[in-house]
Amino acid sequence: MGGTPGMVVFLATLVILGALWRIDFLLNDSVTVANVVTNVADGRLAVTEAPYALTAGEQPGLVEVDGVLYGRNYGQAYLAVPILWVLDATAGVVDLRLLLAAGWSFAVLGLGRSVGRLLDRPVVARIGEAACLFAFAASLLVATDVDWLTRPRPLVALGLSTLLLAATAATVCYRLVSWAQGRRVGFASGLALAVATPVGFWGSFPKRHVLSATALLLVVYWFAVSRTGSDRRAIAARAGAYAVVGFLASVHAFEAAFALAVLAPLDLLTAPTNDRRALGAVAVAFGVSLLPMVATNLAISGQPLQPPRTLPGADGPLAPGQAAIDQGAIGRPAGVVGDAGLPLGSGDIPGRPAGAGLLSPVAALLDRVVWVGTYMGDQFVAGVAAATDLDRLYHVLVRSGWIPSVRYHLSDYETLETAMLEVLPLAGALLALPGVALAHLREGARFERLRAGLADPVRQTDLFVGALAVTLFLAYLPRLPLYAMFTLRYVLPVMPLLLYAVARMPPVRSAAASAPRTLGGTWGVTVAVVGGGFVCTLAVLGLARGEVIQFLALSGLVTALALAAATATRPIHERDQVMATALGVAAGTTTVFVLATGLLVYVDGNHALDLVRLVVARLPAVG
Amino acid sequence: MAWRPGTGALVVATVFVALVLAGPAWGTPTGVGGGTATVSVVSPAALAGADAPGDDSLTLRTTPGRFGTEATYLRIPDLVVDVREQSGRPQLIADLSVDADGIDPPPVSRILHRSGTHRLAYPDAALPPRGYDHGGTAVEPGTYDGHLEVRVQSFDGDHVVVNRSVEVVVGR
Repeated sequence: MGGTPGMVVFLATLVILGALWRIDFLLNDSVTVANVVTNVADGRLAVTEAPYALTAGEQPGLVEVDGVLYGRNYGQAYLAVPILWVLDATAGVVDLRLLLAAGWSFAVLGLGRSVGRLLDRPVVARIGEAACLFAFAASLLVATDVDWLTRPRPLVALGLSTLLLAATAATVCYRLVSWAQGRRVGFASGLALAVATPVGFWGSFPKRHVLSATALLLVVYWFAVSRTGSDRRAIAARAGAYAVVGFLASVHAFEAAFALAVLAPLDLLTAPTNDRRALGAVAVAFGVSLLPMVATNLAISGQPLQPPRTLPGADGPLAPGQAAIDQGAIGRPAGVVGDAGLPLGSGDIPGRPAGAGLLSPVAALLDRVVWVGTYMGDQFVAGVAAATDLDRLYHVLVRSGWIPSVRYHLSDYETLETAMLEVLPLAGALLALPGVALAHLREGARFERLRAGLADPVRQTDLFVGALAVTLFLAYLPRLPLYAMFTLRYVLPVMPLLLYAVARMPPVRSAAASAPRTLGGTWGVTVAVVGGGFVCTLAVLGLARGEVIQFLALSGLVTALALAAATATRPIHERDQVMATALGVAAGTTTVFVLATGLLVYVDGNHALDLVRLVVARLPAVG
Repeated sequence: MAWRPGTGALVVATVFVALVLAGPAWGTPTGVGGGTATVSVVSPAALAGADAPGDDSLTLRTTPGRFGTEATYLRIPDLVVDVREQSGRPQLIADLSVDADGIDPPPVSRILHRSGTHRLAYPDAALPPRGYDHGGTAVEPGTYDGHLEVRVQSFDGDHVVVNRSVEVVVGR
């Protein structure tokens, strides 16, 4: 967990994102995954019970194999199922809504105790205890049923697993950056991941992107740790990195394949040792971690390397009644937006039907491996070509507004899409990278120095993070910009990597380490001022949803550019306070985005906590 | 100072006991149920006299999107109502229909848990800018007939509060 600071990061993320958590769907492909959770918990991969959809056509990603319907993202479901079993076990004893309130209250209690321990102030722990009691007692008085869903627990389990993954991501980010930059910078980075990046947005909805982001952060962290030695701990970390990639394949095989394509060569090139013991551990861990994917694929398609999302028809809605499906209950997917379909390995990709021809199993497997490699190569080349399209890059990275290529009629003409700098203004610091690199070259960087630097575990990790971020970004770039992305969700796993890169920049590291009070204070003032200003603007102007998002996006872009300017001029002003202020403002603006979208925009009386629901009911409504 | 974990354990135990004592069905339902309520419109003013024979026509207009949104918006004002003699869990529902393809705002509703003032927020309806050709239905500038109905519904009955024609002006 990372000791007391790691616990603070974990619990603070749970408390904040737990308050924003809505028991609902933002996108209708989550309906499919929630139905998968329901069925897997009952012991089958086939989707024969669908409590969240009236028809099969409402579940994008549902595929039919021999008259039986299957879903996708089974790895995501496997993580949620144990939580569902616990929830089901308590169903006859405790009220679901009160159970959630109790869990959140305990997180508040734990946060108070951890902060008290961190600051060595027991009074903070007492405040946490009082807040815990108050929150639960108030929840008792105002508790309502989760009755907008006939069977809420599978979706609650999926939401809870996402929430826990987001908190894990923040904690891993803390540990990773602490390892590279020291505890202060790591602590700030961990908290920033939760509240100052779109991970905070997606942590409160049951989408797979938080899982992917968490997995890749874990891969990077264990890659980093494994560079530092050849003892048992380092080998275990190295094996762990591969194991996470293997498990990720059961969620999204192509994301895992791209991660493996970057991890394997860089790992072999930079590992302290490639002896038999280390490589054996890696092979065993990776082989075992692939079992969930292989077993699932074999059961569904009959091919170990053919996940459901590559089967023919995976993207197209199926006609109702195409296969037997229990429509015993209808959920209420409020405000559900249609998903754009899958970026990788979906219907428009030349997938093959299972059991290709008369090839032997081994030949079929090899054929599949070649196909995966070819597809990845094609996708990467397409990504490089897309990166030369400046108009596309502008709308993806800088400014969204009304993007001419986006099919807005699928989101009721609301401009809900945002660009990278708008929702991750902290990445504005990276705009100054060319200047920093130039200064570095002027200082006389020589090839020998660069080569020596690459022997450093931190530099090796930098290289891995850079390669992973560029690869994943290019893999998805041909699909972007796209509707139903909200915050470029396909490239959400890239965002923590960018945060790491920002934290590695010397001006940022220096500011976060030497001016933490300025950083935290500015963040708090920004949340209060921009948040207050936003609420007033909303009340006075009566903004529509698309206008709210664009107002917040523009705020983010302005602060990103301010951060870029502060970073670029760091050699001139030489003041950590200026950098800390710019960082705090950029982070605070994203926090306002996360809070505003979580409390005002994508809401429908569906917050998990009754107390939050009551507060939201008294805020100005989005027009 | 020595760390004292005792109070924390006490708090956890208290919450656990309360959780179990509350039982598995503590929460109150959120959906519509039986009941009734007397509702009068406070705002918008054109609807305030809806109970009496009124001839103030309600005109809704589109205005351009702001902050970089090129959609135009049909701004639909929030409905503020005064609720008296409330009982049970009746539902206030507003449904605006417009005689134009491409303008189809969904009905909005809220449960009336208590007497007093209630606000029913109607989301603004976005219309595509001219030249948008990816799909959907474009709405030509002009004046369209519309109809607004506000009702109080419950399992015990259905009462119409507002039943008025509305003029919808779509600008360029």
